[in-house]
Amino acid sequence: MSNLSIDFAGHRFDLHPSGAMFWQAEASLIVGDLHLEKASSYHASGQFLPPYDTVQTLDRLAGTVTEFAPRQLILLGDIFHDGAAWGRMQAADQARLTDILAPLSPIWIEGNHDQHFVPPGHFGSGQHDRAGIVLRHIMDKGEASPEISAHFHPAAVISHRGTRLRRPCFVKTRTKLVLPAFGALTGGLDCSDSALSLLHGQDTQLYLLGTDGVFAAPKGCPPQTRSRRGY
Amino acid sequence: MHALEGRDVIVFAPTGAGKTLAGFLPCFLDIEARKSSGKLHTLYISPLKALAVDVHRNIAAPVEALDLAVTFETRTGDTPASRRQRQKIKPPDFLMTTPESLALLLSYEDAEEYFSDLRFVIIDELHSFFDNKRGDLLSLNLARLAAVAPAAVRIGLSATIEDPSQAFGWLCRDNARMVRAPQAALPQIDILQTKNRIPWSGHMARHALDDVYAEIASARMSVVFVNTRAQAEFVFQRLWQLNEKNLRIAVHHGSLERELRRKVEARMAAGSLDCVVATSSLDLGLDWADVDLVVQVGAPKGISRLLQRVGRANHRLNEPSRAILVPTNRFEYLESIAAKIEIAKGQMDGAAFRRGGYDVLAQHVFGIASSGPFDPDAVFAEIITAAPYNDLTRAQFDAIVGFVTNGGYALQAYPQYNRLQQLDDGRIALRDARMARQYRMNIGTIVESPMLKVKLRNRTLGNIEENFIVNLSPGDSFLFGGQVLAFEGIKDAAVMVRKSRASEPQIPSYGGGRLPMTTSLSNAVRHLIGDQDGWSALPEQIGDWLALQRGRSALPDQKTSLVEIFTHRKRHYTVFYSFAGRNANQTLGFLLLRRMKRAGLRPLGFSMTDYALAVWSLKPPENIEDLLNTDIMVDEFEEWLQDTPLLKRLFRDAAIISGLVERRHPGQVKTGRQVLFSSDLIYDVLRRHEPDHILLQAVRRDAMQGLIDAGRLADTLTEITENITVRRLDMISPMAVPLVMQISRENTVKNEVGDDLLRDLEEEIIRAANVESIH
Repeated sequence: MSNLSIDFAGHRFDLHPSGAMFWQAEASLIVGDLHLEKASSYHASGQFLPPYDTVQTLDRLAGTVTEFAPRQLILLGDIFHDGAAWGRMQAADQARLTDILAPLSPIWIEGNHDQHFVPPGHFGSGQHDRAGIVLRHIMDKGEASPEISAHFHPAAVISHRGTRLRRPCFVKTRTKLVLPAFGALTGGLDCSDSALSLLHGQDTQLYLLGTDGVFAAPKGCPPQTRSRRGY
Repeated sequence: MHALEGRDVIVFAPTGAGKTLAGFLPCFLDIEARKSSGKLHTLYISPLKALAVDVHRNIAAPVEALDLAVTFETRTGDTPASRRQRQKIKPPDFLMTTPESLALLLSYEDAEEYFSDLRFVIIDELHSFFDNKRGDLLSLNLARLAAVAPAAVRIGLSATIEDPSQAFGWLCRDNARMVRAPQAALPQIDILQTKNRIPWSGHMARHALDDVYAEIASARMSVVFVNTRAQAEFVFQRLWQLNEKNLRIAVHHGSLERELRRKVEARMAAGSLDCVVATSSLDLGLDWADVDLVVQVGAPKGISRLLQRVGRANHRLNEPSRAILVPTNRFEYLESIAAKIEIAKGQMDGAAFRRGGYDVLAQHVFGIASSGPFDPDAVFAEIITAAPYNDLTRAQFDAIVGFVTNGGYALQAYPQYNRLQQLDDGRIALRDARMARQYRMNIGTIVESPMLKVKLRNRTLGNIEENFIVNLSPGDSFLFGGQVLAFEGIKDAAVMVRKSRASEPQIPSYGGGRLPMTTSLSNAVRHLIGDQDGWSALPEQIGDWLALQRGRSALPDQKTSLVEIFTHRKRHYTVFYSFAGRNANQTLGFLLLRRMKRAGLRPLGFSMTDYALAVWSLKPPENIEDLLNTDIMVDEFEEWLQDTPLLKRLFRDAAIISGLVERRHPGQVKTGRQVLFSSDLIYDVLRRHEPDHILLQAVRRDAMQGLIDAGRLADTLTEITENITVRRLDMISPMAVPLVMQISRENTVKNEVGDDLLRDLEEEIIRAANVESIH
């Protein structure tokens, strides 16, 4: 795995193919939209999705934490898929999450999905200000300061040499940075969607998640790459 | 009348010989003798709603003429709810319906009572059920029906097939009888004569359409069949441009709005059309009385398939039907001639029979539970009487029941959500009777790929694949329903368009659905290639092409498994003339990519047709025998099967059919801002954590017999190793030209090159910007 380093609001960040982001100066790892227990939330309605998403997401989180060895973890919201998710988690998964979080004195920002649920021993807040940057779950149109958020699960389709790929992505404008979802079973919202119009523009930069790396797309959002005959 | 003696029967008759009416005769006689009981007497099942409607119309005449006191009605997904409700309370004597509606009727709690006086089940177009999941569904429901209505006799109506005993095995119980209709006059089949050059490759028949126009102009009413929707759009538009005589030409394919399709069918029935350009969506569902010419654009791909298509015309006049084949390239020319020769000889394709899908079985088990508590032993015994499931083990059945109960995962789930529960007496029942609704919303085996509505202002024109639209930018134009449309944007999950005058519109590709050429037809083509005395009967350009191939390389005839190796534009091509059909060739392509990579040959990609496979690499292969050894079916195959994206495509369908995720109904817009979940992600999670889960087994099983075509590939490899002829050439051979040309259009390996592609894109931007990195 290789990271891609970018500058945002005068700070250096490493983008990781898992969808996590490492804030170098603050030695903090930022992740959002884990949506733990998403699969089991559908069981009540008779859709028995494979109940392995939590364990896979925790594997991914543990691996990323090991890789960056951060001082602190910043959780950007929607860590649980719903307010009752903690109660559905296997005891082993609960213990695992607790162990991962314990040494990282996490900043817990509440999302819309987990309905103010914060696991025992932690305290949630609506936003977090650090080094001139505001961190919150859903971007705020009226925010004047540089802002890091999650929530939208952005993904982009690019066409190159006759092939089309759809990948989750980071979206960066001059003042806003939106993270892709970190959870194993989380879908994506196309960047061209009007819900993301705040991020649209020629100078917007998309960073697409590959399997082994993060890749910068041509500038502009929605992406302007067009099918070209190649090969 | 065998059917009256309580024995099953199959009537084999050529298309259009009036066998449907024959099927109803014993039913008429029986009900005349017995008098109506006020309950369902005869169930007629057809693969198409339109056919059920058509048959309903056609039996009205004899019922009136014979003055029979019989009530008969149709029931399909299109039947209004009020009538369906009434049919439940007061059923007609004869009901015309579809496999899906039968499944629905059987899922009601009073099914046993409803079918208690059923005497006959007629299955029309029986041959169309053997090789697909819809047939699996029907077979299971017939087994169910036999349990609730043991007296009902099965009457199958089938096109003539090569081996009738297989059809008996599929449909009938012991002591069944066969009725054969006399051989109809063979159709008169011609290959289109054209003065133009026959292209090396391509599928659009651009070169032939002025000749096609002349043919339809001289016919009374014609149907121009094409193999794909993209061809339908192109051919229709081109014929319209050529239409100096103002013929009334229409287009009919599965993506058009139902209303539009019905309108075309009605205009055909009324004789107010001169020509319809159609895909198989029109194959069965129309009145063919006035059609005197069938044009088949593109290769027939199968002998029986062609016969059934062309055999429909002219049948009321007892004249041979007339058909013209329009091959779109040189290989297709050979294929068309071979098909014509085989039909004249009375040859047919062996029908493909499949092993039943586990996803369909899961749906069925849910259906049985919806009709009431069931005894698992009895239901298992019943299911293995359905031919596609006759080798099902009890362990597999129990796994399916577990899947329906709660997904059947190794990880313990939450019993309060279970769908099924075991009662004290050992029977299995729905945990909550209201769950039957979930089953009834999901009946059926046909899964549409994600489609978006196409809207011109407020008018809906039809549906188009989401995958095509995401490649368009506002202002791009495309062909749809014969109109050139400009894409404006997506609004409320609909594609907004306006009319356009663009001259080079794109054509939506519409995924999948292309059937591989049958083995019998492949053999016939190879025979034709080898029969050098017969070449004189071929058009000069085709004969010259074959002669050139013989001189420069060798002929891939019946005794020669030809492999060519040559260099073209600095790349090394290896071309295998396997004639194994596109699916098996695709699988072989993927396996060879792996094997050649391992051997350090640096393969870059492949392209395939029904006839051959071309792999290209940076280094030439030295020992072909090592590459094509049958052990590739073990070593590379197992490994490839674990991570091929092909299976994801099948998983999408299986997840819906099995009821793992809910079906999206047309017009139903996703509610959340984000996509709720994607079946691709579910597949990845499941494969990683429980690779032997029953639904993954289901997908592998389906893939083996269809998309991967493992059996045919294994046969082909054995044959190749026995008859291999390797030619190392200085330049590309005449027969390889179409394959190499196709490489520039098709990129079959795109899913395996994801990161490389992104990296390449990024590097290109960096070069363009002339900077070291971009942030």
